[in-house]
Amino acid sequence: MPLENDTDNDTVGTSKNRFENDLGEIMRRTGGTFVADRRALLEAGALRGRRKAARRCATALTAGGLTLAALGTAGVYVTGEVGGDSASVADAAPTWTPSSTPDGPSRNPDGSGGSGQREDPASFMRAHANQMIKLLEISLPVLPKGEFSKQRGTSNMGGPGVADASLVYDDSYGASLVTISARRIDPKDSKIRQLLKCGKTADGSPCTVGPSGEKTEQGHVGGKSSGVKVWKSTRISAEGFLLQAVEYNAASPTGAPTRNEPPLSVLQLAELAARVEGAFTKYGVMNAEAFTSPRPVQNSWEVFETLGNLVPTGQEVVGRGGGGDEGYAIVRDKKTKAKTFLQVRLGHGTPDGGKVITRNEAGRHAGTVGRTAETVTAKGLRVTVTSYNAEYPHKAPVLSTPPFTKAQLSAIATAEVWQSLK
Amino acid sequence: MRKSREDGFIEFAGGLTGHLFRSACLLTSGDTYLAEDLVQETLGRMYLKWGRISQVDNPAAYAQTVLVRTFLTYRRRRSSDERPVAELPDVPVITGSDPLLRLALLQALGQLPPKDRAVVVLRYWEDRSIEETADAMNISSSAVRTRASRALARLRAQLGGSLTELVPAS
Repeated sequence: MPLENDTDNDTVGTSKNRFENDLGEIMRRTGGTFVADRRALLEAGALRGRRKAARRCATALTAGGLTLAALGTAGVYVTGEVGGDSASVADAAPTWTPSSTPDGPSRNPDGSGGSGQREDPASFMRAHANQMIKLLEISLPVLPKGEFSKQRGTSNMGGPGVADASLVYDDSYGASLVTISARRIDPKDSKIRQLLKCGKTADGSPCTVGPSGEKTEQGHVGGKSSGVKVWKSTRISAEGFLLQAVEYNAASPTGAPTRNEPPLSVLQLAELAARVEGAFTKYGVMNAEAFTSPRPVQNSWEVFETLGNLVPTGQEVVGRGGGGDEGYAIVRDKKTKAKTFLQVRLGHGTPDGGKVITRNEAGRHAGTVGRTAETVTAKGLRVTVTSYNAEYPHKAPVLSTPPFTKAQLSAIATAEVWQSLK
Repeated sequence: MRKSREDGFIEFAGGLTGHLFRSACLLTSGDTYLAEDLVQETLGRMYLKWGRISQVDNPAAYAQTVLVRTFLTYRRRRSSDERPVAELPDVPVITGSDPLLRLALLQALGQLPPKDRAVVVLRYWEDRSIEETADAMNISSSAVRTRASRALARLRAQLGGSLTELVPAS
């Protein structure tokens, strides 16, 4: 122990002991402020261990005179039934299934799921139900704060088939079922490519194909008369994943509608499917960074969408814009009808324990002022939120002071949702 | 790894991951991204040798040793890429508030050479003895004393000589 050892040193005095005592105390306090996502770290650490074991195993095999060429696999198709309202496309699509050889150590990229089978990385996938649920939960923060319930998932630990997750999201406007699913496919298969084409629908529901080839359908469960809307976004990755995000305006496909429309916009639904794609590596295992690292905001609309969702009661968003690490909202006071400018900027900063700094600054027009709250998250993301007393910073003021109080701006700046961005 | 052994590893690592991460944050002087990477690498190495590590007297202390050595290896690899700056950034004026104190400590740790920082973390965060610290870092006890003494002098200069007023009696 530090102090015990210091007693060996004749020159050590009381003040030095005190300094070391205090240093230990401060280190304990400082260390205690860092909070880890333990499950994600543990999963990622175990994954590294399995990969190391797989590499070691491969090295041993090579030394023994075996070559990877001798481990070639041939694929066969198992065709599933396509269609159905509640089943996901990923559930029913043709699957690329590797044939296996009877013995030998696993060749899985993460070194697991062996059972004597050798898997083709192009058709292999491994995702635990808990990982899929976590992925769904952390991919939904673009939504206003709501409650998640009835989480369930399906694991796929190396075999053909789907890995999926679903939950019921309730933002007090009506409970909605949201699901994600993923399975390995052959991206060049013409039958698979058909899944991304819009056909004629019986009730004339909209279907669009986006710039990245993703398909979005806005249909109904069992026809329009049911009132239950089901929106689906389907995409195929170059690495051979069929991915789908589905949402309903009901808590279950067979239940009664709880709201007019599902909670995510069509764009947000497509973004959710894209995030599921990004969570998998080309080897079919889940990318640890999908859980441990915040998502980059570059080239996304997440910042201004998030800001719009954080506007407090009494103000309504009548316009918003931005891109990348900046976003703004034009907000209108429900009582005074005054429209003002609310802005958020993200940047880098040094974590300082969650301290919030507030200040006032001049706008770009005489009399226009901004009130700002700024904080830095534990991961070093600086969040700066500014409310102006004008519709735009360069326009004449419409109020004597910005409508948002320092407390309201601080609440926006310290909202937990920013932690998931970078 | 057999399932029972993997379960044993998961159980052990699950209880240790949080502490490892906090240690790594101090070693990296607050770089949480690098800290996450170090913890993952540590757990990966532990996983690989879990059969043997599970038999040692104190696997948790072993994990800390792996973490420190992983950190030092990383710093050695990185050292050729680093560009020392002539002037260090401004250090905040320390007051009694905890957030500023944490910031000041992390900055002060960041200005120590990696090995000195590792000595400080092992001695004052992990409460390791000089001999245990020497063993973990694979250096001699006298080298630990020298580094500890030098590091404390720099920290004292950086943090103001006495931390008494910064650590209110609890």
